[in-house]
Amino acid sequence: MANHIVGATGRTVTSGFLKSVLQNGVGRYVCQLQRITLKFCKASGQSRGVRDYVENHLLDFAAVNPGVVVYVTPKPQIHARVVAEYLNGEIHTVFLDKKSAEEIQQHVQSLVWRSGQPLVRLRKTQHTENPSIQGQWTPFTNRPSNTTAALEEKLKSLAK
Amino acid sequence: MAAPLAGKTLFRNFFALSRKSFHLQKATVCTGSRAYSEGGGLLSSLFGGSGDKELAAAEQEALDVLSQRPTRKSRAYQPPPDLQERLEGMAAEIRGGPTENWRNVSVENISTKFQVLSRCYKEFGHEVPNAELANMKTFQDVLEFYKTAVVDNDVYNQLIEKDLPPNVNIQWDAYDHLVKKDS
Repeated sequence: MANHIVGATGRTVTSGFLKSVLQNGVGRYVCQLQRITLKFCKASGQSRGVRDYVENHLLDFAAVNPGVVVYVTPKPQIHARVVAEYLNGEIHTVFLDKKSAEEIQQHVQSLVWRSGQPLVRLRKTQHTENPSIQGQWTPFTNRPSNTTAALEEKLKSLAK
Repeated sequence: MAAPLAGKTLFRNFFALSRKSFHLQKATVCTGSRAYSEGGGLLSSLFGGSGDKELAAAEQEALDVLSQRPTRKSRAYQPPPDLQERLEGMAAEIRGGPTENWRNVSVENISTKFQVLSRCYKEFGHEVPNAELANMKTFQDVLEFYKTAVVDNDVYNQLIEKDLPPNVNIQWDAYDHLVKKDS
């Protein structure tokens, strides 16, 4: 989840750590996009790209992604957009006014590739469930035990 | 013959590009005109002045009635491969026997014309519009008409006619009731 700690900076852009949905893709891959709804105006000039997309590219997209439900709902005077809903309940909207059909294709494809995780600043660009395979290094790793026993005892006593 | 579609055909003719072009071009194009983009007030803007409220009211009524009708069937038409044989057969029936001059067999007699053209409509699924009826004088004219293919440019009809994959749901008319009808 995004960072809920509010500090003295008042910074509003939320941050978080890199996440995957149950390690999606390690075994099988499940597309996290549940449905997309294309909303546009049938008559306005700004929706021209979306109308072009619906006529020429939408059915190909739907055939390639059978797990994504596609709704096409034209509405008068509306700003053209695509509303994407993910399996975790996240709803993401991309406005498509004045975009060409090719640009819309790219936007929709990027929606397919996303997991439903919220878009936050990543504090670290890596994450792993198993940070150490052989055990994390300590100063006593790889040192012969007869020279380090006394030192270890001393360190333990200091730690108490 | 064209009674059930008479009102709609009349309205459509206002939006057809050119009626003469039906014969001249090989493939004709029907402009798909749904009530959405038509809006109200076309007739009144073309023929009526600003004070012509009767015309506007009548047109509004007509549009309301039209908007309640079900979605129109696609007007697309492709001529069948055995078109000529079928028309020859019809001409032979009228003449009383097969002839070489079947193309010149006249259909100007009203009852003959009705019989022939209504049968053509039944068999080919494509009807002669009212404006073209006067041009149908011989079987040659009928053949010319039924040879020309028609491409329906109404996007929605094209979309629903294709086999939609099961994950696509097109709600084309969902918000048509919100269309503002301003004169």
